[in-house]
Amino acid sequence: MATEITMPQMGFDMTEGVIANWLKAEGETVKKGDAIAEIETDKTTIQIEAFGGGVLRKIVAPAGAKVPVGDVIGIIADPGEALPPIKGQPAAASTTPAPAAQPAQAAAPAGGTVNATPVARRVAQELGVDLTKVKGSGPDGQITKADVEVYTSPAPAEQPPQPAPAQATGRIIATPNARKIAAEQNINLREISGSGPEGRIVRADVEAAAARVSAQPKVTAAARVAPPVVAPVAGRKPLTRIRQTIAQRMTQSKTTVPHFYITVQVEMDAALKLREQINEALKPENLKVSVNDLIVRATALALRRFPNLNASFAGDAVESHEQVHIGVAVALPGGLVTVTVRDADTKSLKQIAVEAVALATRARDGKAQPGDMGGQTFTISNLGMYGVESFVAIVNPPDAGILAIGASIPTPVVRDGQVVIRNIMHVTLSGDHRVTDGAEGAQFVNEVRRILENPWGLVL
Amino acid sequence: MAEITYREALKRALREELARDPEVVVWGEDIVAYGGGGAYAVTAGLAKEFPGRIRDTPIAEEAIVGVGIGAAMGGVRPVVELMTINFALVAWDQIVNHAAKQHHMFNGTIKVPMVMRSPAGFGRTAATHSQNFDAWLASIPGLKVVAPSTPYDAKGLLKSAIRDDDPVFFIEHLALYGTRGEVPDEEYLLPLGVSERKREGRHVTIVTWGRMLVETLKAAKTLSAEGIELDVIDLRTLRPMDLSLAIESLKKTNRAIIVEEGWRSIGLGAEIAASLQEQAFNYLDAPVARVAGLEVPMPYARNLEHATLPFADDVVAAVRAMMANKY
Repeated sequence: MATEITMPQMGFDMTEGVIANWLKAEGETVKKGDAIAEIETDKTTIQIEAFGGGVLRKIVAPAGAKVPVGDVIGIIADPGEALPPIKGQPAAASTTPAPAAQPAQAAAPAGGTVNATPVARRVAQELGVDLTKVKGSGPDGQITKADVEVYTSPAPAEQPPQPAPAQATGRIIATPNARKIAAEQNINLREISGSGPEGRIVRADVEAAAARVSAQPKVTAAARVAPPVVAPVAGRKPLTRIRQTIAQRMTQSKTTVPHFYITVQVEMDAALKLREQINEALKPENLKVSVNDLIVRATALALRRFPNLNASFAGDAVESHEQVHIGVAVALPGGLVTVTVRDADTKSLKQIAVEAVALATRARDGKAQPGDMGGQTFTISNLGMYGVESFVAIVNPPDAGILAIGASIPTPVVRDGQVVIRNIMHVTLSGDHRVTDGAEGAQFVNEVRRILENPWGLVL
Repeated sequence: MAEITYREALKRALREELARDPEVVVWGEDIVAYGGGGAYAVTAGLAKEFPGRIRDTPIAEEAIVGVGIGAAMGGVRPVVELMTINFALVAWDQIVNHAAKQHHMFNGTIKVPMVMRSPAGFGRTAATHSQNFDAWLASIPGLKVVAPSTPYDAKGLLKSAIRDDDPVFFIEHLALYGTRGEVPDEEYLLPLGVSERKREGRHVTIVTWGRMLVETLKAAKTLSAEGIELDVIDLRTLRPMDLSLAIESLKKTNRAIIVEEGWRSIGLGAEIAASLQEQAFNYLDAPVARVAGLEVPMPYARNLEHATLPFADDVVAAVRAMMANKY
């Protein structure tokens, strides 16, 4: 029986996804559970698995295609079985070739699967590179790490227009000597056509290019319009998808959400001691509760008492959320994502600890599953592991607030008229002023503090 | 300065060393009997000048080299002649396992100051008598290998080889015996293990030795008329090999072609190309190329023999292709 593969929804705010990669080719046999395609959302790249076995009869959405959630991207059926008409497409569409709208397809290796080295796949994932668009220079067109890196280095589109550069993308073919001279004379090899075999750039090509540069008329000081004083550009790196997302969302937040900030100091000695005891008890299970897990639970419990902060601004209303889902910021090599600990207020520290590790690991490995990300009602960003004393975070829309957590630092404090050393942790709330106000925010962070300073509440 | 043949230059070197050092002896096949001088007349007349020190041997190359090794260990400085390099195969065990290893295996207490002279190459001598073992010989630790290309080099290097305390294999190309060149009357020595620039140019570095030096210089003339100037490095000694000049040259020209007569695969050209890219990678403007002999047993027919071997026109073609960026 034919099974339609549809664009999954990974997170409540996902409306569309991009086919990063087909891992199976049309006509290939698939088993239930086989990874068949990689889907790129604006947060991550995930693999989708076949829900049923058969033959991948039809790839409806080719690699690179942007597809709304729920639309059919491919069909698995028995060999010879008549294919059903595809939802959202005229029946005839199933026999027409894949839409030609993706110029990137030209470089995609035939057959649907991408021939890339393991390290190339990892680097591509980190940099958010669609491997189907990368030209492989290895044996049989295999994509190497270098190919991915070259692909992400400045593209010619961002350069001053040049007469048809020979090597617009992919690996630059140039002799070692040409590379050396180009580096010495600061000549971009991508702007040069090579005269050697396969367009290889040789010394003479670089020298000719250098001569062209020096032959360009020099603009006199008088004729020059006062240029803006900027630092010289040493290199351009096109934004990866993850950086595009961060840039877009953070700009949206910082320019549309009126932020206010409240910082409290939390004495963490009791919480740290409790954590030690818990971890001692968890040792046989090889589990550990992190400071962040304590904070996740404390925040979730505090939000239960401040439902107005477990809410979102919705234009003409504030929408409060029934459940408490805590987003936790996770740093990746290429940027930042938030993973979501769902119903954190109802989960034990142990459950939170296990879940948080699994979520962060999958995110870092690029193997996030639907539901791992997005849908949070409040977010925590913790830079304590970097020894940061305090900082302020940008609200993660559509949340009403975010907590910025610093390190627990032994600090002299006054207790009962005596100077004593306590582990002090700075917690800074960034609040959406459209949803809440300073007074409420202050009460909320004080509640977080109260819970952390009387940590038995976290386990009871 | 007189122009003499390569053959004559070798004879002069032998004569000077025989006269200088009473321990120097020359042994080989037919170098006294039948008019003397050996198959290529290098030693002709020497038997009369140095009675008893020029001796005929049986046709037994293993014995010739073996006796030479023993004599050398005992203080004699023998120059043994192998009628052609092809017969060195019969003496291979003596060359590889004995001559080259004694010094090492006896902790430096034993020396083998012997020279093995032998003509190599071709001359309508067919498959088993038209060979180059340059690469094999140059791969043996403990052995020195010399392959002079001019009469001047032949004389200066043979004298140094005789005075050297290590065993030296001295390769004389058949096609070079009759070539002429200026050789001073006064005595001179040339150091082993030092290459020489035989022609100055700026476009392509040619690394070569032996007969191919002659062909390369012919090619250089043709190419010069086209405005392409070859920088020609003659290795002269194949082991120890001095590539310092070749690398210096490559840094100037950014292109190199190795020209050798022997079989291409696993040849000395491969070894030299590897060293050049190891030591001057960033200066390469094209892959290092090779001109070499075809990998077939040598045919007897003259036209086929010619087709098997590299000559000046092969060098010209390779250089033109490299200058046209076809490599």
